[in-house]
Amino acid sequence: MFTKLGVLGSAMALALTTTTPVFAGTAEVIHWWTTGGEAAALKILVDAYEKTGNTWKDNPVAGGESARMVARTRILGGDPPTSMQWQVGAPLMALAEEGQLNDIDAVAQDWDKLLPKVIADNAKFQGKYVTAPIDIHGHNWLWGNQAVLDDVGIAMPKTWEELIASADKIRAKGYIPLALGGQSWQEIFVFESILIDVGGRDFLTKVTYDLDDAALRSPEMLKAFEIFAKVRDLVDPGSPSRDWNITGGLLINGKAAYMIMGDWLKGEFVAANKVPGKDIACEVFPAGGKTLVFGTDAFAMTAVKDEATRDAQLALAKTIMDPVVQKEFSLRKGSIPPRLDVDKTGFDACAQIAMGEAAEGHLFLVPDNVADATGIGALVDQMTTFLHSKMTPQEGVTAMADAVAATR
Amino acid sequence: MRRFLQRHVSQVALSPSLALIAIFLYGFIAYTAAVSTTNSKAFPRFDNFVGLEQYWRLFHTPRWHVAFTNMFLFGGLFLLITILLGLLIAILIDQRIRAESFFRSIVMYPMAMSFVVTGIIWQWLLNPTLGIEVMVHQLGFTSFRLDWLTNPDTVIWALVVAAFWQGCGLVMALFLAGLRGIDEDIWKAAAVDGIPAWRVYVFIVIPMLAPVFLTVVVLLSLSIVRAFDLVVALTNGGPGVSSDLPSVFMFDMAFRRTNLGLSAASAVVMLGTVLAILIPYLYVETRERA
Repeated sequence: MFTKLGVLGSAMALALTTTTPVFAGTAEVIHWWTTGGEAAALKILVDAYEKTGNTWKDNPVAGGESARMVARTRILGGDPPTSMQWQVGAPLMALAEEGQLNDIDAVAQDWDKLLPKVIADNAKFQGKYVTAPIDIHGHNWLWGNQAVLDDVGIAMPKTWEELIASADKIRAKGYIPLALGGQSWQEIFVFESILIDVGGRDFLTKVTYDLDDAALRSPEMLKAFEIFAKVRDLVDPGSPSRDWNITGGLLINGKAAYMIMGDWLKGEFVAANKVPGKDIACEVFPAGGKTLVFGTDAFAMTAVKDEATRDAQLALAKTIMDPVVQKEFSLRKGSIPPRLDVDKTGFDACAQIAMGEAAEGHLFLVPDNVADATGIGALVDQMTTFLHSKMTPQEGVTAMADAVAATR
Repeated sequence: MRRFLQRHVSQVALSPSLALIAIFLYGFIAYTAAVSTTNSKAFPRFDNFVGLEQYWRLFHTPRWHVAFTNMFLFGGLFLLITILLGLLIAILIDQRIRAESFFRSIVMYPMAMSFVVTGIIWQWLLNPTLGIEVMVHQLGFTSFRLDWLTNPDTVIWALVVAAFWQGCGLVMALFLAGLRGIDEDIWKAAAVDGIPAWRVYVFIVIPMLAPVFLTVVVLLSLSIVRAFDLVVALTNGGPGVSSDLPSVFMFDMAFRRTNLGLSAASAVVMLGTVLAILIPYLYVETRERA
């Protein structure tokens, strides 16, 4: 009995040694890119990484929250994956402060020159890179169904005032003015664009980053809530709680004129054979706001100690920042590359606009990744409560400011 | 040794599970309570004691008020409707009807479904652009409105209906078992005295079902406090945060907002609520035994 087990054991050990070449390491990576375009994009990275002689040990967990939970539990248990999909900014710093991340400066000497400053700053802990960014997704995009706009006889609005003014004409033709999925994470894109509209980038910073009490109670805020209250009339009765992709269908199928949503919506256009920038017009909204709210997916490098794994980790960071990988990845993902020196050929018209905004320094990291999570959470809760209630703008301002104040 | 074992065999047999319960139940309850007195964010840390500040914060969070009120609103309506209709169905089935097991199965079947499935079924049925409302419109009643899911004032009814649909079977089964346990002689005696059936139910049979009521109330109450999957599948807390329940709030704070301190505080308040229900029950139970 025991000898049998022994034989089995050594056979397994042999199998392990033969499949793992001694000269290369293995990187175990937790991520949540499991669906069509995401998986195709990830494959670019995996293939490029395996060409370096290292092995990619895939550990996909469906759903961002579940994946982050798995990663956090593994770290707490003292068995971190080599790397995991994460976001730059506060979520990353929380890990770094716990001493759970390795610095990868060995391969990141020239990254400061390659990356937009806002991404570089938020990918570093105490001046050292702890993550490799792979994409940029813009949030405050206004999409317009060109056929609907032509039928109504209007152009893409540049401001909220123009958008609201066009609503009556759109309704008269039997379309929904604004396709909105009434879930707080979708509504916040609308709210943020209104904040930019009334007070510009500085005001957005004060409200969402600093959660500044004076800004939250300012006349600009009241104006923002007055516009936001009008959004209640721009949407259809089926809006509350509707998923974003179903909502996207309203825009794509010509039932709605506009939609405000992140650029991952482009994946739905492509699936429906619509060309972004032609069939579906796009605009960073409000136009001239010089602000593209964005999120960046990045691979956080955990505090692995083992030398071979450490090398595998550095090789992974290097592969992620490879210009070819960055470009091919984003082409499939519908994002734009964080590296500013990637050439624009092959990208659709909307992505090219985004790349221009990034080069101009208009990127604005999503408040979730900057502000105190509980404070910005309270703001989001009050934002969505207001939209689904009959509160007056003044009541909305007070309720939001009070709720945020309670988290201090 | 042998005599020790003989005398204490039950204690020895129970001790592993007792130890497990002590660690994994009470141990972690204590751990959660400890976390709730800290300023923990993404990871539990104990070097930043803040006393009861998280509780102060919790009760100054408007969303928690919505969630906490909803629990009682949802709970009250769900208890009342499920018990009343469950009892009524049990009484109807108890009339020695034909094809009894067929009807019993119909009422029991939803119980076999998980709350997630229940939630999605009712999400489709109640969706104003593709569910019951559209069907009734197609029948010609175009003024018919069923916007429970999309109206923050009525969304709690959508939760109640879905939870009732799922929980009714269990309640019916418990009451039916209780009814079948009633002595036939009582019915014969009542028949001799010429008492109408409804009076026998109201004044004799239902009071005799008191222990069943207690079981049903405790079982349903616990499922109310635990309710999480139903809300996530049916409304995801929306519209806005109007259908939030404490369990959803707790999950959100712990894993989306990475605020373990506040999340732990809400968990402790939930535990307090459960204890407030359980302690009277245990008190009554133990007194009856004694």
